[in-house]
Amino acid sequence: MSKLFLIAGHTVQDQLKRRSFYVLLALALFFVLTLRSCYDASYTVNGQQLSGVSVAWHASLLAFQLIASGMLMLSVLLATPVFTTDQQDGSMVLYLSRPVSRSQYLFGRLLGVWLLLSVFMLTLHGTVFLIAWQKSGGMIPGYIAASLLCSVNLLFAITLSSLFSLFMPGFQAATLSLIVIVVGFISDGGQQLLNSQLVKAALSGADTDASWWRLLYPKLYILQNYAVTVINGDEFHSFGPVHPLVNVVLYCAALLFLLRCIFTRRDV
Amino acid sequence: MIIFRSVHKTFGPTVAVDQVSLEISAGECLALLGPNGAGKTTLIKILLGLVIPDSGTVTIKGIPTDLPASRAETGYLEEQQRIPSHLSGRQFLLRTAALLGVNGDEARQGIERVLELCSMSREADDKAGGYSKGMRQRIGLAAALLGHPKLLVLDEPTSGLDPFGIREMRLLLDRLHREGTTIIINSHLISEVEKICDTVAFMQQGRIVLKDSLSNLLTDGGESLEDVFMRHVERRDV
Repeated sequence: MSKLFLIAGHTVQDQLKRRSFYVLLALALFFVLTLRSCYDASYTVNGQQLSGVSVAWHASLLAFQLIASGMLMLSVLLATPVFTTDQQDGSMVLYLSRPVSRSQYLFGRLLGVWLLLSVFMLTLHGTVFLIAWQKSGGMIPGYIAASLLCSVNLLFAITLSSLFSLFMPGFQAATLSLIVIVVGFISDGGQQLLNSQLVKAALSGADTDASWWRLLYPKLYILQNYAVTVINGDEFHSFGPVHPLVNVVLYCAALLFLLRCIFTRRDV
Repeated sequence: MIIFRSVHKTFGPTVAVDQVSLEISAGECLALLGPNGAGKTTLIKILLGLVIPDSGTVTIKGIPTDLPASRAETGYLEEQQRIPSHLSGRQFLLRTAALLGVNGDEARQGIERVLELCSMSREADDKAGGYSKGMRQRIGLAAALLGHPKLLVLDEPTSGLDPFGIREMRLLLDRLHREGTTIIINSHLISEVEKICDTVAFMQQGRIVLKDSLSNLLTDGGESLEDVFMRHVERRDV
């Protein structure tokens, strides 16, 4: 177990030495800080001026969704080259020629990337949380807990892109991973729209049931929406046989199992 | 100490290791000799668990090599040592020590010792990206020597070294051998291994065609090891 955490620590160190990581962090923080102006502006809806608290609330929810979605893309970009780079720069031989099992190496690397990206996302969400607190004078309950929930989505993106990277070049692996994620977002987003009261009323009589693959598809978008309900306290409507958190966790477990099976049979 | 039993490995249609059975005793210094593509590196990688054999078993001190415990007292220098370019030589050695379960002062002292042995103390804090091939090889050897390994596996150890480096390497290996370390060297430099090793194994087309002690092989009519090698191994350009 200690070797697993040791390798995870090395992974964090390796990623922190990449200049691209800091460029992405700086860009993300810049984006979040530009949101501050949204809190200062005055908004009028149907002739009524919105209160500062209401603006802060909605801007923070929007920022939450944007950060959580953007981090999925970043996870794919950071996780895809991990094992290919290790194979090229000799790190894989360094670990596996020492008393380290393949599982310890594999899960250590994945854990390191996951921890780093989760802290990255928490930093961005935390920044929005603090800005909203400063501007509105009130804390948004559940914001940080919701961020932690979304980190499960990051684990899915990391394991999926790592699995693809074992079979194909990095660019293809990253593209395919993003396609899987985007298809889920479009499919579940569309399904949620079809299930809304407004669309149901407009399409009375139309069949809005989801096809079986949509029910079983990784529910990243729905999990993200569930995280939003943790913040705003709204009632959560899901579809599919299991809760989206269970769905994504099961997918992560299956992907980790597959990765382990494949990796323990591969030559280095 | 090391037992290969009917080890077989293919890469697609190519048979890299063909039913190899081999025993290496504790304290032995074995040279694995053979032409390019004979399967020497694959055999070494199977010993280290880096390559999974299609069939057969390999054990080190009775422990199957698919278990990490088999590598607890093993040092390995790969054919062309690679070090992540963002790490310094010392950071690379610190990682290696940590993987061996050596930390703190013990690790620092051990690292100073192996850096001294491999004449890399001055360059240890430079980034590996700026190292020459020979310097990477020296750091790789230093990493292999960390933790006082009982088994040292060296794949082309003199690759990239200048004549001074080759001599230093030979003296170092000679000392380790006298101290009882089991050494396996995969090399093309027959004249060098002749000075270090006490046993040689010739490999060709994935098979061990001969394994014997140097003293037995070199008794007849003043033949050199090179002559014996040429007699037993057919030249096949790969």
